[in-house]
Amino acid sequence: MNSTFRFSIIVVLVISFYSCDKVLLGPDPEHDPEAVFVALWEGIDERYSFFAEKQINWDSLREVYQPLVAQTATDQALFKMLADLLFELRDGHTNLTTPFDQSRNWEWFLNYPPNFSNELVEQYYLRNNFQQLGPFRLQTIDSVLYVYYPDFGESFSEDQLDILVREANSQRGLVLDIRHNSGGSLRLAERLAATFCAATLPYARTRYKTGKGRADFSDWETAVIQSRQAGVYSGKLALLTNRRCYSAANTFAHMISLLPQTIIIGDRTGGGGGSPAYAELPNGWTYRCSATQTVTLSGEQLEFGLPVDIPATLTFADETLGRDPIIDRALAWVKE
Amino acid sequence: MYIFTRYLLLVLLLNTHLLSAQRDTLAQRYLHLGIGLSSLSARDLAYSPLIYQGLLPSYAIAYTKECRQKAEYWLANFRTGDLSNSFSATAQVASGSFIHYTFYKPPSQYWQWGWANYNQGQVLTFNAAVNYGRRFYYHTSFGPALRYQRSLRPRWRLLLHAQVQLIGIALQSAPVVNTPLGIEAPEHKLWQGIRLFHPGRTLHTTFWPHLTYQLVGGAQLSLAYQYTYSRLAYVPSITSSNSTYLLSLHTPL
Repeated sequence: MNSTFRFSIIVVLVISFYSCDKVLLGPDPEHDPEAVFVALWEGIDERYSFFAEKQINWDSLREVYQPLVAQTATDQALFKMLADLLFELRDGHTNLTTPFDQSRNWEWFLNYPPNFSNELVEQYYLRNNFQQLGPFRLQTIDSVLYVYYPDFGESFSEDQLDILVREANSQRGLVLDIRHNSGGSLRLAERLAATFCAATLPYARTRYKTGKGRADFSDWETAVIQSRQAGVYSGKLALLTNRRCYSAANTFAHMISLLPQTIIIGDRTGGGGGSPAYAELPNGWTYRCSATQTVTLSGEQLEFGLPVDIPATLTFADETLGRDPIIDRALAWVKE
Repeated sequence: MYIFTRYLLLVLLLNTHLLSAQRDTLAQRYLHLGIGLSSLSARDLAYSPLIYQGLLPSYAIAYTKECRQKAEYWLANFRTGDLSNSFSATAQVASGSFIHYTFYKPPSQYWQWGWANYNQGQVLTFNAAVNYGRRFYYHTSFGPALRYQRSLRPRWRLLLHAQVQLIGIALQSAPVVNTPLGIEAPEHKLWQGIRLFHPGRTLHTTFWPHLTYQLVGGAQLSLAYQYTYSRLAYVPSITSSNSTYLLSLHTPL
């Protein structure tokens, strides 16, 4: 065997192994409508965490929707049909995302009064001289610190929390408004709650899907807020919520409800106690669905929202008068 | 956790012992520094049935020692970069491995048998996933290895390494969350996530021919092709296939 021959063998082997990618990994799967439907149905079947709690018969929904696949001649029609299927989960954390549209279920707030007007808050409460402390908007009203925090996706620094604590401690109390805050980072929710927490506080238990079976969950794990070492505010705190408080904001409201000297005023929160997991379909579309559960220490699912201590509403007549009864009620409670 | 830690310590001690043992004054020792290009393809069914692939820069460092009866290699390589699928969705990957080969040399033979300890870790981050998009897997395993070497002509030498991993342990992200099963628990029950690496559920094989050229002064230059196929067939499975072209400088120590 001469060296040229040996070298040729090596070259052939190299080339053949290079093309082994496709052979060993296999091709990408088919992405006809039927394959996409099956991938989505099975993906939700394996990942979704609230079938039992919402009494959803996912198997029967397959029987209803799968025959409709044959009628979807376009991507838009397929999207519409799959969006309808996902809508049945009644879950704000479940979406199908395509290059041309995103499905959603917003029943958790669309079917209820908003009980919030950003223009009203800006015009009559924050006014022109509020303090913009990172994502927080601060205004002192009758010796009470009013803070509006619109989005748990907007981060804040420890220095900003120091200022927030100092400002709150210099007033008679704190009104924290998270209405229309539809969530974001649970880590930020825990950090903000730690600012009002004088001692370590177990607040919930969580578990996540671990396998294909609908009952395949991890063990329950206790979620804990660690008190903020750099200083906390532990005076009177009124938290304002409405139906658009979802996901991390919903969980934050639960954390605050466990603290002493706090009260929650406004409307029930929207829920969203499951963290969404993301996945991809054979045609490149992506979806997400709730894949975890979070329950209170006594076992109630946070998925369905939290009641308030003092219900209060904001009507069109109130807006016309330039008053927000939810803020007014909170200011009155703090000053009691 | 204890089992996993002890296993890693055992692997570390074994490699350290082998590295320091048998100070043969006749041994040839080389330090290898290499740079190259990898074509990496991966499919992680926890997120997508689609293949993500890309060309990545690849770096390698190795130490070799050849005695009369034995040859040993300690090789570390690393690659990182972006992958994409056929619909242009992207992911970032960082992949590294540490391999130890031992070959026993019967006299006057081109073929040598031995064994390999292969440690591989990979983090794959799917950019479209806001939560739980960072997938991780790791395995450390042992298996038989084969080496073929032959001088082609003055200064030129051909080497070929191949191995199949047979037994070990593996750790990978849970089906939904990023971390392996058990690690999120307050007691950090990492052992819940450790799986046995064995034929049937896993496959890891490497084919690695290289051609070396003897430079003046004892140094060598080598052009290598390294193909690695890895499949962890747990639920959900992750499969990757990697072809690397590597140019290395071997410096005698």
